[in-house]
Amino acid sequence: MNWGTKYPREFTTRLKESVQKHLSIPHKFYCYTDNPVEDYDVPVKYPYLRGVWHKLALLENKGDSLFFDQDIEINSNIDFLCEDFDKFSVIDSTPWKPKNIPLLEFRMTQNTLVNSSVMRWSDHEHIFKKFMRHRDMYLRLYAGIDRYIYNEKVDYHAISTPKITSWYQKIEKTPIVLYNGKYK
Amino acid sequence: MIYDQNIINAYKNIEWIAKTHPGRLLDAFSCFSQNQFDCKMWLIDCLNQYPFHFKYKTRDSIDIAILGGWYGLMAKLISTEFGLKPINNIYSYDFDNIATKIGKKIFPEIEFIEKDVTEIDLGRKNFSIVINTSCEHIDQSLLYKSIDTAPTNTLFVLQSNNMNYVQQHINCVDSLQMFEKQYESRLHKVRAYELHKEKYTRYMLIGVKR
Repeated sequence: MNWGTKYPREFTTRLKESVQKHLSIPHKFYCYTDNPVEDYDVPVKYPYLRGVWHKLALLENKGDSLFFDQDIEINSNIDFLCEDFDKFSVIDSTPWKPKNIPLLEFRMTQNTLVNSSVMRWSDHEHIFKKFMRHRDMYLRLYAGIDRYIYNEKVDYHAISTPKITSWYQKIEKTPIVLYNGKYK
Repeated sequence: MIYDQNIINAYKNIEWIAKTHPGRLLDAFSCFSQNQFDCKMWLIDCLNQYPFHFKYKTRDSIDIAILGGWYGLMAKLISTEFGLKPINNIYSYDFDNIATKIGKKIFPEIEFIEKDVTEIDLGRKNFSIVINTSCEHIDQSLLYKSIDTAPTNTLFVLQSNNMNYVQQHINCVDSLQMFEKQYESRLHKVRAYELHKEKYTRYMLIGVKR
């Protein structure tokens, strides 16, 4: 997904090449974007949505699917992700989340323990439909989709694996490194 | 500041929200902000000067509906500041069940109803006045549908703004003229206003359903 001007095209190209190199399972690569230029680009379907909220619209697509944010680094084989497509899966972010956030502050700020830099699903359109039904309220309450997923009782599965890490953890060259929050 | 029972009650309510719905505390503070207060008092000041007849204006008291009432600030201010007629009932509609629950706790005298603005059949109630201060959040066809369900002569008070950069805003207007144009086929005897704020302009129409 590449919406707006935050990530130059090079990010998309680099992600495509990385996936091609490190995912040996046959797949097709698409980029959901408001600026379609390549043959693998798919125009956004809901132009009034902004930024990360377009990621939720991807759940309308049925079939075994993986999603990657553009600010990730793929260093080695990621075939391990191609299982359990029957669940809607996101990443467990507890390994890099600060441990000392007071509970009231955590709940007041609608904080989250999941990260959607990588998502996996096959038939989970209902999650997007729920969001769209009361879109205005969710946009008001949540700063992003991770908070929406965590706080709105979405039936998600949190992938917990040492193969996916965040740059906050300062662990180099795991198969996937997330640079979540690095590019503002 | 005078420390009195009202302040104690306000703190009790804040404590209750923090304990029962902590994720809504900041949202409730937004609802009761200075800006929200100013814009709603501006609405009531203008409404109190509306000169024309509207539905049931000759009755002893009238019913008023607030659409998208959030935690009930508009309803509460109307209940104390509205001066055209005595009020029989004020109904604050919102699909957000937690907002209506919190609203009921803070303002027990207001009737909060959990319902989507787009699903309210205004023809089934006897509202004299219908207030919607969040037109910029609602698709235009749904706003028309809402007005179309109301009986002739219902007084509508509508607000919108030009804050296109806010992600919830899907139906902003760029000028007062544009806002008036949207409703000229549905409302007449229209009074149109604009309020210039530091970062945006708020627009308001008060008019009677044709």
